[in-house]
This record gives sequence, C-alpha cells and structure tokens, in this order.
Amino acid sequence: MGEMTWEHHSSRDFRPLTPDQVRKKQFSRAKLARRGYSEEEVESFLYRVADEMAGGDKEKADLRAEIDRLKNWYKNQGADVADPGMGQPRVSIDAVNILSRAQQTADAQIAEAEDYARRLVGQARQQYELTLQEAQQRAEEAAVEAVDAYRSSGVVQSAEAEELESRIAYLRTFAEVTQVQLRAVLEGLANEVNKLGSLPSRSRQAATDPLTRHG
Amino acid sequence: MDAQALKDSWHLVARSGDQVPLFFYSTLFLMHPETRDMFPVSMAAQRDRLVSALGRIVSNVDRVDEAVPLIQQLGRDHRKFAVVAGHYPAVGHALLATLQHFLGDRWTPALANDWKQAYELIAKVMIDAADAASATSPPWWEGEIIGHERLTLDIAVIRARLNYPYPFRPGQSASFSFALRPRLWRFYSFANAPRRDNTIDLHVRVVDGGTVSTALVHGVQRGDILRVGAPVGDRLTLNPNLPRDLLLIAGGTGLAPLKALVEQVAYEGPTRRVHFFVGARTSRELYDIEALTKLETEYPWLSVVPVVSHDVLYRGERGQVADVALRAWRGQEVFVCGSGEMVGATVTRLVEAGVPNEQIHFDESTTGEGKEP
Ligand SMILES: Cc1cc2nc3c(=O)[nH]c(=O)nc-3n(C[C@H](O)[C@H](O)[C@H](O)COP(=O)(O)OP(=O)(O)OC[C@H]3O[C@@H](n4cnc5c(N)ncnc54)[C@H](O)[C@@H]3O)c2cc1C
Ligand code: HEM
Repeated sequence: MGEMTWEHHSSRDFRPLTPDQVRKKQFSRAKLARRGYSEEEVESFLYRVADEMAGGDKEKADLRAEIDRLKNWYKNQGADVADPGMGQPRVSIDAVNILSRAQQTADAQIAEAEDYARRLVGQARQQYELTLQEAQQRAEEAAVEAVDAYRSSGVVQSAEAEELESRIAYLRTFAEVTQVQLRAVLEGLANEVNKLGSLPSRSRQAATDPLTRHG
Repeated sequence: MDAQALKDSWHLVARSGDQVPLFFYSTLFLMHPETRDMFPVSMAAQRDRLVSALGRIVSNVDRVDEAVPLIQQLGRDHRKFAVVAGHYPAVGHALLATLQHFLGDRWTPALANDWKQAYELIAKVMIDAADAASATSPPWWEGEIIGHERLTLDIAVIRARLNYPYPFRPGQSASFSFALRPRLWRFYSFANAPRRDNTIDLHVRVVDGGTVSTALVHGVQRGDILRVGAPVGDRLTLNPNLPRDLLLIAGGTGLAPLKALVEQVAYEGPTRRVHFFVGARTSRELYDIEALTKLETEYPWLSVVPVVSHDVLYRGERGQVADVALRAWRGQEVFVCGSGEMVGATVTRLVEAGVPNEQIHFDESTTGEGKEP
C-alpha cells in the first residue's frame, strides 16, 4: 500500500476530474488479488459516473448562462450586481425589527434616567439659588443689627471698626446658613448623577436601579 | 447620475423620521456586528448624528465640489471614531438597505445604482482625506488630566497635557470623549493659546442632567485620559491681517475661547487694545475673574469688566453685558460667545446699535445642543 503524503493529497485536490478521465481510467492489476472486481462492472459504473458528471457540467453551464443573462438584464436596467451586498440586504426584516425594538427599549430607559437626572439637578440648583439668596438676605440683616449694637454699646466709634463689625456679622451668618444646608445635599446629588450617567455601559442592574427608585 | 432622483428619494425617506435611523442602525449592526462598538449605547433618534447627515450629503452629490473641504474635514475627523476605510462599505450597505426598505416600489435598480455611486464618491473623498491626514497627525490625541478645579458648584477648569503636539488656533474647539462616558463626544473650547508644553485648558459647565458635562465637572480626576479630536471652527479666530482692537463679550463659560484670544494677543502681538466684558447672572458665577484680573494688571492693553445681571447687591457693573459693552464700542472687531440665548440677544443689540455685521464674530458655545461648529 502506497503511503499517501500531504503533498499528494493536496495536489490531487486541486485538479478536478473530468468525465473523460473517469472514462479512460486504467486500473493497475493488483498482482496478488486474483479475485478482483468484475472488470465489466467497474467499467459500466465508471461510464455512469462519467455521464452524471457530464450532465452536471452541462447544468452548471446552463446556470452560468442564466446568471449572465440576468446580470446583463440588471445591468441594462442600471443596476450593478457584481457586489451582492449593495442594495440587496441579506438580513431579514424580522431580525431588523426585533433589534430595533430592543434598541428602542434601551433608549427609552436611558432617556427616562436622563430626564430624571435633569429634573433632579434642576431642582437642586433652584434650591441652591434660593438658599443663597436667603442667606444673603439674613446676612445683610445681621450686618445691620451688628452695627446698631456696636453703636449703642458706647465703645469709641470709628468707621473702620464699624465696617469690620458689619462684615464679620455678614460673613458669619452667611456661612452658617449656607454651609449646613448645602453641603450634604450637593455631594449626595453629584454621586447620584454620576451613577446615572454610567448606567448604560455597565450593567442592566445599574440601569434599572435609579428608575425603580424614581418610580 | 440623476441628482434630482437622489434628492427626491431622500426627501421621501426622511419623512419617516425616527424610523429611518432606527432601521439603518439595526441593519448595520446585524450585517456588520463589528461596528456596534463604535457607537454610543443610546441611539435615540433625536440625537442621531450620522444618518441624517449621510442622506443629506450623499443626495447632494451634484454640489459635491462646494462641499469637498467639509467632506474632507469629516473624513479626517472620523479617524477619532476609529473608522477605517474597511468600514465604509458596511455603512453603504446599511444605507442602501434602508433606502430600499422605505422606498418600497420606488426603489428601482437605476436609483439603487445612483445611490451606490454617489455614496462611493463621498466615501472616497472621506477616505482619501483620512489617509492624507494619517501622514501628519494621529487619529486622536490623548490628554492626561493634570489639573481639575471646581471653581463654582457647576463649573470646572480642567488642564490636560496632550501626548503629541497639537496645532490649533485660539478660538477653536475640539470634541472630547473619555472612559467614564464611552463613545460620547462633545465639543469644548480651548481656553488658552497653544503652549510649548502641550497643555490645554477647558472650562466646563454642567448642563442640568447633562451626560458628559456632569461627568467632566464631578466625575473625572487627575490622571484620567481625555480623547481629543482634531481642532475645528474658525468663527472665533483672529484674522492676522486685520490687527484691529478687540471688544470681547462673554457669557458664562463662553469666556473660554475669548480668553484664548487674549492670550494670543499677549504672545503674538501686534498689540491690540482689548476690552473684555464678562457677563454672569450672579457674582458667584464670575468663576474666572481672579485669573482675568491678574492678566489685566500684567497687560496695559487689556481691560476686564465683569457685568452681573441678576444680583441687586452686586457692587460692580450691573445689567445686560451687551449694554455695558456697547458703551466701550469704538469700531473694534466684536467677538461674542456664550449660551445660544445670550449670543442671540447680544448680537441683536449690537446690530441695533449700529455695529456692522461683518465686524461681529460669534459662536454659540455653551448651549446644551452640542451643535457642530
Ligand atoms: C463649538 C462648541 C464649543 C463648546 N464649548 C463649550 C465649552 O467651552 N464649555 C462648555 O461647558 N460647553 C461647551 N459646549 C457645549 C458642550 O459641547 C455640550 O453640549 C455640553 O457640555 C452639554 O453636554 P452634555 O453631554 O452634558 O449634555 P447632554 O447629555 O447632551 O444633554 C444635553 C441635552 O439636554 C438638553 N438639555 C440641556 N439642558 C436642558 C434643560 N435645562 N432642560 C431640558 N433639556 C435640556 C439639550 O437640548 C440636549 O439635548 C460647546 C459646544 C460647541 C458646539
Ligand atoms: C459617506 C460616509 C459618511 C458620512 C457622510 C458620515 C457622516 C457623519 C456625520 C456628519 C457625523 C456627525 C459628526 C460628528 O459627530 O462629529 C457622523 C458621526 C459618526 N460616524 Fe459617520 N459618516 C460616514 C461614514 C461612517 C462610517 C463608515 C463609520 C464607521 C462605521 C462612521 C461612524 C460614525 C460614528 C461612530 C459617528 C458618531 C456617532 C455618534 O456619536 O452618535 N461613519 N458621521
């Protein structure tokens, strides 16, 4: 038995058999095999194979002609079919629709989370402005009071000292009113908003979290 | 190529509104799954940036000559999305499939062929420009954040050092993205003139609930990396052949690109007189005023005037910044930058007051729309 090397194998694969090769194929006689197959049977079988191959070839040729005919027809209509992708979508409309719906659901969830964040920050900002205005007003009042108190205290009066007194009172009150109210709220808010923003790419859980809290 | 047929068919398709980008992207991602990762997670149609532009640009192929510089710029800029030539056929397939779907019977082989050719032409201009650019610049720059300072509750000044030299002109902007908000790109203006150490400054203000600005102000830290696209925009850049005095009018973070102009005048000369009017609603929002006042003491040709509109207790100039600035108008070139609203109102005031149109330069920079320059 001859060994079949890789080289043999591949070179044979590259040369397709023709019907004629099959028809004229000579088998070497196996010296020790007295009782070989009937030559007649082998021959008639090979003829059948050859006929079928010939038929296959003709069918292929017919099909190729038909394709050319169709290509020409399309070309005459102004379409280029050499590139099958162009204008001939290979995806099913069902698949497109399913993916579209999934995308829409995701978009809607993200939009809702963003809207929630927008309102949250918007309200916080209003609150912040209000607090500051209030603080400013209360500080102005405190400053006026401080000057009044200073004047009625009987201490030697100087414009500079008076100004200083009022500024200290202003700043102290302003800081008191604002600091307490604002810090905690704002830091918490910044965290919240950051969580919202990173939701889509991280995980589904993160995506639904703020919404459930919201709803 | 029947350009009118392209336009008519695009017009028809566009009538399906949000359904069009939805179909386009679903088809693209199904046929070419490798492109999914290039786009943001949310593809909400109202913020779609590709499809409507694609249809508009391709269907106007008959006027391609006028648009070539823009298309080239688009091609160069697409490198920042990591787009390579091999991606173009994918987008072409999805575009044609989308047109076919929405046009139904009207999608003839002849029309298909015209769209295909028009698309390939535009794509070629983009790809060639990208190729040419790749000889001289990276697809994007990376900037390490080396300074992050929150100057008010909602404004941060960010300094980043870029990894390669970055040639830009004061007054320009670029789009930025970073790992905290993957694949989202937003424009921010440079607040400085180019420096030898490749550092850039950005002034970022939070838009209520804004995805990217919130992260830039509250989320990023020193050491984080910004991805930076090529510089764009020429509306706020100085014309070196017109060395006139300048009147700068800023609202909010709109002062960023105008501050860059001040730095340019300081570096380059010839010295022009510069009047810089900085508007804000309350004195607390005059976030950069210390730095500007310092510049003012350094440069005799510069005067900085803060103007506050909504703060009765404010002791400096009060009112609309445009009105205060107009008092200083002596025929200078006027530059306006701020929110859309502020810019609109200011430009109207200037025109009413007789400032010639061609002397007014403006850009709406701090609006939430993220509009292209
Ligand atoms: C050329 C150019 C230069 C720019 N320069 C700067 C700069 O120097 N500094 C700077 O801070 N910004 C600048 N911007 C704006 C910046 O690009 C972003 O648009 C901004 O940071 C908002 O992005 P975001 O992702 O946070 O918001 P997004 O998440 O995109 O949110 C904005 C969306 O929310 C909507 N929206 C915003 N506010 C509200 C509200 N109050 N109520 C309801 N809806 C709202 C908007 O219509 C938009 O759809 C510039 C823009 C351009 C075009
Ligand atoms: C003729 C071809 C093309 C045209 C006219 C075009 C046009 C555009 C325009 C105008 C934008 C918005 C500009 C911006 O945000 O900076 C955009 C965004 C984008 N394009 Fe293209 N493009 C084309 C091809 C491609 C290809 C082949 C890809 C790769 C798959 C691609 C990927 C993107 C991405 C990822 C964005 C950002 C989308 C977003 O942030 O929402 N584009 N395109």
